[in-house]
Amino acid sequence: MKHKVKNVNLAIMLAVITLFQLICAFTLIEKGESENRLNIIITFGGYILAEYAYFIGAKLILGRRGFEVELIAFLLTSISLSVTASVYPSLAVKQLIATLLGIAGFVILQIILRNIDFCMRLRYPVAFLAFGLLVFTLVFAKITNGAKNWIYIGGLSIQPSELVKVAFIFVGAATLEKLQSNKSLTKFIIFALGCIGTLFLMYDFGTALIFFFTFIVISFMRSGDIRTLILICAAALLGGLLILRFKPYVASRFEAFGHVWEYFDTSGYQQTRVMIYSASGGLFGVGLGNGKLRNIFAATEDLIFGVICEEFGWIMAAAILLSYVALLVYSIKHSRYARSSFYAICACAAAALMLFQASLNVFGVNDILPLTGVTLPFVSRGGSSIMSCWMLLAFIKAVDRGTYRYGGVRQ
Amino acid sequence: MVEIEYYTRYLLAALAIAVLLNCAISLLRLRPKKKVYAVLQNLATNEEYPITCYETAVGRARNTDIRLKLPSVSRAHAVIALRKDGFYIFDTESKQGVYLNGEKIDKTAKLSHGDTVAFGMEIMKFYVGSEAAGDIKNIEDIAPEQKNYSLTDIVSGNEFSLEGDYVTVGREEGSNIEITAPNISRKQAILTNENGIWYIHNLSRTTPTLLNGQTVVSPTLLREGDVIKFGDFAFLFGEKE
Repeated sequence: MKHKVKNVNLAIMLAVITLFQLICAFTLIEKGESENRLNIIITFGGYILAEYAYFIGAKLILGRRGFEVELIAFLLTSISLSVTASVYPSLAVKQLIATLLGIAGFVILQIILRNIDFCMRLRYPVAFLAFGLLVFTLVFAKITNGAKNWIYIGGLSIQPSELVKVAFIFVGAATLEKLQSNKSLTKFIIFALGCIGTLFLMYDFGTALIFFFTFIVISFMRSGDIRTLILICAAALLGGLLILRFKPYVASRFEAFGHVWEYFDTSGYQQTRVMIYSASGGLFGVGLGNGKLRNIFAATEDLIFGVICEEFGWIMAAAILLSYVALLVYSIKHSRYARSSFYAICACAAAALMLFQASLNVFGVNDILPLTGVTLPFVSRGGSSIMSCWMLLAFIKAVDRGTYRYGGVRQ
Repeated sequence: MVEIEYYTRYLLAALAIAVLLNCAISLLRLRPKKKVYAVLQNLATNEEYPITCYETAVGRARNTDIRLKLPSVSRAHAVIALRKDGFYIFDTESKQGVYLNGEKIDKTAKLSHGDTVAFGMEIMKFYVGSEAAGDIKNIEDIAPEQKNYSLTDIVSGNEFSLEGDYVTVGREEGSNIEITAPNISRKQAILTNENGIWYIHNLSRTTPTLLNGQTVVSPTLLREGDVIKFGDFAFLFGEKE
């Protein structure tokens, strides 16, 4: 007999996530100093409220079904908040605000995506705004940790390239509707070259690589022309080699790659610590707040995967990675039956971007790839990153035909 | 206290893994329901090509949904798209063009049940619904015998059988087909059965009932393959499976 696959039970899953969050909060309150307790209560309380508000709105008011995508995102963000509140309790509320802004962006973007005609009208303004933002960053940003990708406004620091990721996919997919009478990729290639070139000038090679990968995914989905894509990749490889040949300081950033143990206390310091402490985590970890990797620079950002391996264990780390794969498979499956190719391209590009970024992060900290300093989607600390991830999730959600159907039907 | 903390780490990991694995496995296994929205029938060979996607590419290339291996057909010849108000065909800059009922289309044209579409030398009949029904000329063609009909939700694929003398549709509790959405009227529409032939009547003053993209203003006869829309909800009228 064929087993019928059903959506997960929202009430049960939400109860499990809430329990997870409450245990994390109580553990942190118990371990933390008394002045940080209020921060932890505000962070987890606010987040749980936002979570329930979203699901009540979507399920009871809009009558939607199928919440796996959001449940994964909410749980991953919970892990991020837990680690942030554990390592930097004073920054937890700030991370919560960024998360709430991201969730708001997720909802607003879903509303915008509902109307394809409106999306088509938005594509040029969004393209100019995105490119302008990168140029602004290039001109006004200061070099931080080797890359010129942060803008400081008052007490706020923003990484515009994270937000431009959303615009990049939106613009790339929005020009597709024209494809039904115009197969040219020229405008998108010019836009992509502008963005990737600017990122290179900012020395933000990790993000540039992510943009290039996303460009390849969008181009393939739009044209299906593998020969052109091979040519583009070959040209990019050649360009990369030329950069390494004539700009040796770029190569010097990756000098430890492949043999980090030889640079144990210098440029391989972070990778070697990640590998040592990850191994000590075992299957179930040493417990939230009990790790040692948390004391290493960028533990909650670039090295977060190591912190999860150490404090939550390998099984949970593997489950997190599986969830990125699941998002991509879900997007690919639904893309064939999507209401429009626009949704199909947006979803596949967004999910592929997340998986690629996660791979760069995980393989980077384990010395399988050069350490590029990219974040782990939804899990790493960082306001711009979390906002960008939630907005990218709107693209994945939009591919499902049921997303824009409000209410239920029964006989 | 130390003991509690010791077990907490197992509990935390178990809870997170339960959610992530459940959701991930569900996403990996769930498949969108496949539904045949329309059919293209080759007039020369009688071969049928079901249209199961919202956008269906027709052409000679390997990556098209409907592949026609003829020199007169361009690699990417046309796209058939299901939009809010019915089916459209787009000419994707094909060399030979797309002809609809003998006339060359200019970029795009709306498709109707029974239209003849030519992609190069390949001539097809277009039928809305799950099977090629042939030309419909009179009532006897559509109801030659007492058939059991149903409305199928195009998005979910759920089928609602039409039984009795009438079927009510609306937000009101107790409607035969109850649609719980804010923009659906309490009494949205009624379908009446007259000797096996079904008619649709619009009852709403605020949300129009659409039949193949046209507003229903008076009782209108339903034919197999008709698309009925109540607000955001589209249904296919056809024989009960």
